[in-house]
Amino acid sequence: MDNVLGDVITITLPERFHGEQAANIGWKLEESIGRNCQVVMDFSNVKYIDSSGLTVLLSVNKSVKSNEGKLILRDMNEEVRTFFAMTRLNQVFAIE
Amino acid sequence: MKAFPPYPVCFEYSQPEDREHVLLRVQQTLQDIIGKVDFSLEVALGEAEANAYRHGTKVAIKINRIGDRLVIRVSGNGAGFKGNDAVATIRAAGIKETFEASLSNEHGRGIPIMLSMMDRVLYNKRGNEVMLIKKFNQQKMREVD
Repeated sequence: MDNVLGDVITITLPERFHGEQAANIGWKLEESIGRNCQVVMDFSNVKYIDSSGLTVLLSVNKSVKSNEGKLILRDMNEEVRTFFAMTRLNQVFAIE
Repeated sequence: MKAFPPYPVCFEYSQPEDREHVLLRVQQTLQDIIGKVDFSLEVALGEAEANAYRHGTKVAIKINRIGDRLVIRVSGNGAGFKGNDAVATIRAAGIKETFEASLSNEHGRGIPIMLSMMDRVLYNKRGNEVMLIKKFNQQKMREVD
């Protein structure tokens, strides 16, 4: 976890967000999610993401929403942004 | 110009701790062949490999080049599944429609992602090997020794 400030959690994702590494990040994050918490996931380093990464994001999103919080995905490169558009998950996530 | 071993270029692992290292070598090989990082190709291959890894203990990846087409076979020692039926079902429903219909699902995007990103996706009869084919600009692909 990069930063936990009040009820805002900011996390910088690794270059390759997939598989067990992504799952571990998700589990740790979900343990930290509190009521009305805002989670910001920084994608600026991410060059690779696949469906296993999406699974983690969807799970975190569900946890955040059930706690009446908000998940924001930030600073995606063009290819990753296109990947979210292709899978239509740009309709599900708040992408900045 | 970097020399290549003759096609197919083969990789395999049977120990989970070797997985990440093998995948990095595969990606490096693909980048060497096509002369750039190709996000779509890497993701499609990643989906195929993840499926094989999820259902087996041994995964093999073979990269071949036929003219301007890159042909990648990913196989695992798992039981296999009716992959071509799954592909046909998704194609019949529409790939975009399949994504739209599964927005809240946490799983089930692997095959539609492969179909979106590759020119052809074909399973073997047993369903434990998938063949991914993508066409590239031949001029930009490096020649084989």
